[in-house]
This record gives sequence, C-alpha cells and structure tokens, in this order.
Amino acid sequence: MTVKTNISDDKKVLTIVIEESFEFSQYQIFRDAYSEIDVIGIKFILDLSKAAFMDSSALGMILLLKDHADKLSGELIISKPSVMVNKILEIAQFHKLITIQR
Amino acid sequence: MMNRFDVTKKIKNLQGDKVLPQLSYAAMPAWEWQLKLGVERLRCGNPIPIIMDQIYAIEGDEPQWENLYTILTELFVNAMDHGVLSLNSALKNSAEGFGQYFDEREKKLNNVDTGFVHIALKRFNEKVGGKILITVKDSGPGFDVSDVMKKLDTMNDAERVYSGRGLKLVKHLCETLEFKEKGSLVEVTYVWR
Repeated sequence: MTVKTNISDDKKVLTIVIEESFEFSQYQIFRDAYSEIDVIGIKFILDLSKAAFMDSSALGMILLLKDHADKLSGELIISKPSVMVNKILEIAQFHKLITIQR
Repeated sequence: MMNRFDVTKKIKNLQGDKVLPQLSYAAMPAWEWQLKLGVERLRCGNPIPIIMDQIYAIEGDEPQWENLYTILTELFVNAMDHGVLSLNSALKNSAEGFGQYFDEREKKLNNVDTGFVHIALKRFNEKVGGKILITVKDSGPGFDVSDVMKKLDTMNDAERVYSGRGLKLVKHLCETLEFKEKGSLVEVTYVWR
C-alpha cells in the first residue's frame, strides 16, 4: 500500500490518501503522515476511495488520527470509502464517531 | 435449514424402515482446502491473498469473497499475534501502546523459531447460496475464552477503544463462531445466500 499526503496552501487541510489496502503493516507510515502536524483547527481528510481493503487495526489507526485531530481542536473527515471499506466502517459503527462523506 | 440427520431421516422414511448405508450427500463438502504454515513462511507475511487466489481459481469472482477476505485476515492475524507471537492486545489500549504493539510484533516475528498456523476451509453447497466452514488452529497455548467472549458481547461499538474490533467484525459477518482447544482453535461458518 501507499500513503500519500497533500497539505493545502493555507496549511489548514491535510489530505491523506490510502491506496490499495489499509492495514496494520502501514502503521508507522500512516502515523508519520500526520504526527508532526500541530496546526490548531486543522482539518484532516482521510481519502479511502482507493483503499480496496481495510482490516481491524486500521480502525484503531483511524481513531488515533481522530484523537490527534481532537487534540488540535480540528476535525477528521473520511472521504469516499470504497464499498468494502465502507461496510467495515459501518459494522464498527464509525459513522457515530466520525463524519463519513460518501 | 436441513442438516445431515434430517436428510437421513427423510431417506429412511421414503424407504420404510430400511436405513441406507451411506450418509446423505448434503453433508459432503463441495471442496476442502487447507494450508499449514511454519514460522519460516509466517515471517514472510500474510498468506491470505494466496488463499483468496485459490478460492478465485476454484469458484470465480463472487461478491461474497470480500467478506471472506475480512474473516480470514482477522482470524489469521489473531492466530499469529496472540497464538504464535503471544502479543497482548491490552498494549493497544493507549496511543503509545498501539505503536509499541507493532514494534514488538516486528521484533517477535524476527526472533520466533517455532510455531504454526493451520487454516482449513470446507465449502458446502446450500439450497440457495453456500457455506464455508473455516477452522484456524495456532500453536499457542490458548487464552481465557470466556473472558474474551464476554468482552465481545458487552463491547460498545461507539466506544473509542483502539483494539478488539477484529473478532467483532468476524462475529458480525459469520453465522457461527466457536473457540475450541482453549482458544487455540477457532471455527466459524460463513454463509451467503
């Protein structure tokens, strides 16, 4: 898998794109994508449109990102999860915790 | 749903009191497949894509294999992490521990010199759709099954805990989930219609 990041010109939006699969083996790369960010009020967009698969560890990783966003009084949005990934988010009832944009 | 005994009884009724020598075909799997991996191969990573390739080769591309991929991945990771590598999920409960867990996993994976994971699949035809019985056995000592099952039943989905969601996914996707041999063997049935 690949993790790509893109920060907006005004530094207020960080988009993290996950490609192929989103699983425990990418923990370090995923964390590195956001852990240095300390902009108050930052908006994280986690783009899962290209992630074909997600495991349960990735759910934990998303919660860690959500906690980081909360610490910065920012927000986390999950963007366009693929059908399979969305099913897993639904089973885990993540829509109760995080904004998911279909 | 009809099980083998219902069918046998039916046959018996049709034939008066005569019991047919063979058991019904309904109890026979359409195919069986198994893979047992020792530590050398386990170190090389997740074998589930190999298993899925086999299933695609036998069955073709079907929507139900997406769920099967999730079920097999979660069961394999559990067998590997807790059975072969004796990692403790409790580590994952804090943000620092979550990272530590994966560091430790890496370390243990490089040093482990014994162990195995055995994955067996039996595919049955049903009147509508089908069923796969999945058995995953690991070389570990097992765990406190009743404690884990209790946590599984009482876990609040919306709770912001970082771990313990794998088994929850499996339970949601499977018709049955049962631990045997002190937890070192798990048996689930995945049914699709």
